[in-house]
Amino acid sequence: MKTSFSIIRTLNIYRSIWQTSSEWFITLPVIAISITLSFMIFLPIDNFFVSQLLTFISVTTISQIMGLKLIQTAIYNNGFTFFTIPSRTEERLIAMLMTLATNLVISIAAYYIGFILLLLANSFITEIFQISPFIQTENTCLLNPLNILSQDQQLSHYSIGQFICMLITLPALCFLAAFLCTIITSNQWIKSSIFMLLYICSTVIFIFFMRYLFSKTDSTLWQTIFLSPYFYILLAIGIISASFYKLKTKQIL
Amino acid sequence: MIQLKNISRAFGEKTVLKQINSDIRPGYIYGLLGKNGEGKTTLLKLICGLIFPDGGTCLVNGEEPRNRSLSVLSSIYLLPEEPYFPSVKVKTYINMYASFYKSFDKEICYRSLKAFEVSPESELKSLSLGQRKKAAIALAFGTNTPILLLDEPTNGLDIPSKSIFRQLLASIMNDKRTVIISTHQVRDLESLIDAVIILDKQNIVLNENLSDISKKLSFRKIMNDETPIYRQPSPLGTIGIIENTTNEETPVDLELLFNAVISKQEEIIAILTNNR
Repeated sequence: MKTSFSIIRTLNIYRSIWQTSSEWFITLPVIAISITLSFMIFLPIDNFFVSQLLTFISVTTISQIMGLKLIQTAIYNNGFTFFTIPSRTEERLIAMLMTLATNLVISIAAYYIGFILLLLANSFITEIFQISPFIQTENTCLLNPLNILSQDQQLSHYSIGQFICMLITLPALCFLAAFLCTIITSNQWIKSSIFMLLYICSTVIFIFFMRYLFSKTDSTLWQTIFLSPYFYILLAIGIISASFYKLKTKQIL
Repeated sequence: MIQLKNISRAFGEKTVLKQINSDIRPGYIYGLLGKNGEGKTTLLKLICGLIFPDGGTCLVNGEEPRNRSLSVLSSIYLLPEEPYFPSVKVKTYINMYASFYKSFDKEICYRSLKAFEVSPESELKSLSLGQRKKAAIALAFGTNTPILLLDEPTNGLDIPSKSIFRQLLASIMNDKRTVIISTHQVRDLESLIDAVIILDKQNIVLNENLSDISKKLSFRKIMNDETPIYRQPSPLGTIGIIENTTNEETPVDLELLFNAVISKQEEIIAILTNNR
């Protein structure tokens, strides 16, 4: 008899991944807040928005690498139980992706907490010591996409859709590629390098995409192709399909 | 029932198992013996679907473990030689995995913990290697699966714990359960094992139950005028294996049998397969 997908089993696997190193629930937000504070204070960049963007990317990248490390530990150190506990392949995969998603949510929350702490400290110190603020908070957008988009009322619904699509597709591409890479190799350096490379590429692509979106000039063919979210969606589908084939041959699935 | 049909498995250039065939029946505790690197752990991993064969078919109750179907995974528990222990309490560790097994028997698990004197409230990381292994064994027994695969389970256990291990395993054994124990420490488990599987030169050279072996072979001290199939010195004099022609059964000395099968394979197998 074929057994159907069970959310309870999925949650149990998810719980067992986290319990592989349960202290990470504390370590992750602490590291994320520390990175936010130190980057925002020490980054030698005058533009507050760019500092925010770089900090945000750094926090999410490092937290995802930590999440991948957690999954890697669950698979390679605890592989005996991970692949032999009675569960379906889909349940194991979803549990692993849920771990990455939780990491992302925790890191974003920690980033905002760190940022709010920094703004509070900034205003307190300025008021108490009657000195000029140590960070300049003009153009504060808190990386809210709607704030960015609202600056240009001329954008069509299609462009906004493209923006959101790109915002989701590029990080998703990085996460999925690194996630699948984590399952395939036990080498932390290979996995981290691929993840960093993809993340840097996607950041650069996203910046080009933003310029392209707001520019009033006609686009060239290469811009249309390489700055289209659909191209990256197709690429993601290709990478994932190839990886699943690899996972089958590597006896993971 | 576990059926191995022409199973081959290699790691890169190194062939570990070459076209092995065997049936492993329920109701027995099998001792899986072999020299280092002969493929004992590989065989256990193949049976539970952790790795896949390069050729041939492995069937567990008619299903291939490589498909990792829920029914196969629910019926097997593999206790690795060095299990991974998270930084949690013993009871949390047990609850983590217990929820996956419908057959889980809390009473057996906690009885085993009590017998091993391991507190469920202890932090796993604060326990010694042996204590942690006992917690892992308690979990393995508690899962109550029809097939239990134990890879070197007595490694790291102290002398009284080995005896407790034997008692616990004997108490959970029944006609429907298959237990395969991969071990180098045959003396620890000699009284427990019902059947023996010996791996040598990438193949299963012997899969026989001990009562059949003792009907055909005698394990005893060798007199000077006797010419045994195999002999080796011991503190009590020369001991060896002789064909049993008197129908008087002697306890099987697993160490002696293993050494004999490795060095005088053809002669031993010829006697064991004779009159079958």
